[in-house]
This record gives sequence, C-alpha cells and structure tokens, in this order.
Amino acid sequence: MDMTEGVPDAALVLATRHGDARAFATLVHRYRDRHARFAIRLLGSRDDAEDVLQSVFLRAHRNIGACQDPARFGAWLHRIVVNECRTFATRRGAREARLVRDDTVLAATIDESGSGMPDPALRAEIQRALATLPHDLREAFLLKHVEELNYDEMAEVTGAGVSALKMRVKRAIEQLREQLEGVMHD
Amino acid sequence: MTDPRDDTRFIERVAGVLGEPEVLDEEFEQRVMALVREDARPWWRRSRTLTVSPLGGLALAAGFAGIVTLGALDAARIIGTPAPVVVAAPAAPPAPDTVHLVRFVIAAPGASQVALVGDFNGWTRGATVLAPVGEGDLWSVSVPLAPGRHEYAFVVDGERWVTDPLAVRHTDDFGTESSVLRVARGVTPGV
Repeated sequence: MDMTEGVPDAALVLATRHGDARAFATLVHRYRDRHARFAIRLLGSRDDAEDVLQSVFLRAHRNIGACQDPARFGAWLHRIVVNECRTFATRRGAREARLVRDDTVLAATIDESGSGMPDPALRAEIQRALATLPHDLREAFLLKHVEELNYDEMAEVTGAGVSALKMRVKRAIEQLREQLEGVMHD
Repeated sequence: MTDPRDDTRFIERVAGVLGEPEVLDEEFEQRVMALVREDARPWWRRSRTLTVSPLGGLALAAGFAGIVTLGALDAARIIGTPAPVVVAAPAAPPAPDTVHLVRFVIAAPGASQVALVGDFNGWTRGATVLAPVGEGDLWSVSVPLAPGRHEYAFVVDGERWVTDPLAVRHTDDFGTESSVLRVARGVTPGV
C-alpha cells in the first residue's frame, strides 16, 4: 500500500518542494483522471488531452514553488490545466480549422453493451454538439455542469469574471439545445 | 422562453453523458515522472539522450503498434520523454493490412518547428509536421502506418537531424543515421 495515499495535498506539495519525487507522483495519481475527463471533453481527443496533461504536470512540478497555498494545490493545478488546454486549442485552431470530432473519443464514449447506459448514438451526438461550441463556451459549460465548480471557483481557474462566465454558460446551453434539437427527447 | 425545469433536465442529461469518468492508461504516471525526473536534473547532468524506455519495452513485449520516441535537441535544454504508445483502436482483431495510428513524441523545448521524416512520407521534410503540446516543450504527431519495418528521424527547426535514441538505428549507404520501427501485425490495441 502506498503510504502517501492519505496524505493531504499541502504536505505532498511541501515534500515535492524538498525533492520528494514520490510525493509528486502521488499528486499526479490523485489528479490525473479528474483532469483527464475535463481535457478530453474540452479538446475532443484523448491523445491530445494526454499530451496536454503531461505538459501540465511537468509545468506544475517546475513551478511548484509558485503554488502559494499548498492546501489549494488542486485549484492551482486546475488553472494550469485550463491554460494549457486553451493554449493547445489556440495553436491547433490556427493549424487546422477542423471540427473537433475525434473518432477515438467517440469510440471510447460509445458503450456497445448498453446496459443502463445512455444510447450510444445520443452520446456521440452530445460529443459532436459540444465540439461545435467555441472553446470558451465549452470550457465554461464543462467547468460548471460537468466538473461542478461554482462561479467563484470558475473565475479563479479561468481568470474570467463571474458575470462573463454566467453568460458563457447560458450561451453554451442555448447552443447545445439548438444542436441537439430533435435528438434529445424528454 | 424556456422553462427552467426543461433546462435543468436538459443539462442533467448532457452532463450525465459528459461526466462519465475517463481513466488514463497506467503508464501515464511513469511517463510524467520520467519527464519530471529528467527535467529536475541540473542541465549539465541531463542526458543527451534518454536511455530508459518503460513503454518502449512494454510496447514491444505486448506487440502494440506504437513507438516511443525521443529526440535530443540540445544537451543543455533537452527533456527526456518516454512517450505514449498509441493507439489505433480497432474493435475487431485487425486484418493483415490494418493501418495503425502511431504516435511520435519528442521533447524539443525552444524549437520553432519539428518535422517527422521517414520512408512512409518519402523523407519529405514538410510532409509530417509535429504540433506543439501546451507551451511547446513537447511535440507530437500521429501517423497511420502499415505493419512492417519503417525508418524515420526528426528534423528540428528545419536543419537538425535527430534520431530516436530509444530505437534501433540504421545507417544507410551514405552514412545517414535513422531509427527503425516495426509495426506488428495482429496487434491488440492499448489505449
């Protein structure tokens, strides 16, 4: 059993600052999947998300001394994730004006077994609809309704104001509704 | 105007789908920690090439269609990166002529452009350009490759020829070194 498993973030951050690689590995383990979901949904590609997350953790380790409140490492890391995803998406957008629809993601999302899971076609449609949103709307929607952050937390990780974020979430919902009209039935 | 209750139901359904958990492969942490360890070394002790390839060995052992790549840009700035093995994910056992998506990753901090050249793109420098990840320390590209033997190398900033230290090297009749990758037939996808 990993002895660092139940250790609070703050202690792990301090240990990392003192060169304890195992402490940082525990932080990676603790946050990897949580941020993987956000990055995969936001970027529409599992491969891209993994690359970005590698970069995120490398950057976090390099700058661990800049984490002013070690007890809030999670929020600090989340901000790096948001920024790295944004940088990546901007570069990718400039490189190829593509609709972010990645077969890997769709394949991973579709559960052929069905049992109790949403209709695979519906899941694919939701992914597709999400991918059509502008990055800032997609980001806001995911943070609010998937990652379940409150608006103050969202403001902290995105650097945007609360009223702007509320507007983005509202517009995201409107656009998703429009995209999914005729697909989702009550 | 939309009934707020409709909005709530709609959001719950959408968020329910998007909120399903995602699990990265078990080697993700190994890759990150290898990067971190190499990055944390003083620059004069950093490897020009990284000789540890946890995924490379795994990939070969498992017969994955994938490759671990690393390039050395500059002894003072290199960050070693055992890169992810990738990841075509056919639902059924692949036919002999299946093309596999192979992910190439290189650590080249400070580079402004990184290209992949190989027999699969006619050794054309502009044909396969890697994309920067995040702030650009890492660069990656996925390339569809048929099973069999392939030779390749990276070209950094249009002029620096970088072979993959984790792969078998091949020297052609003119003395140019390249790396060798074998894409297996009948692979089991490892996502």
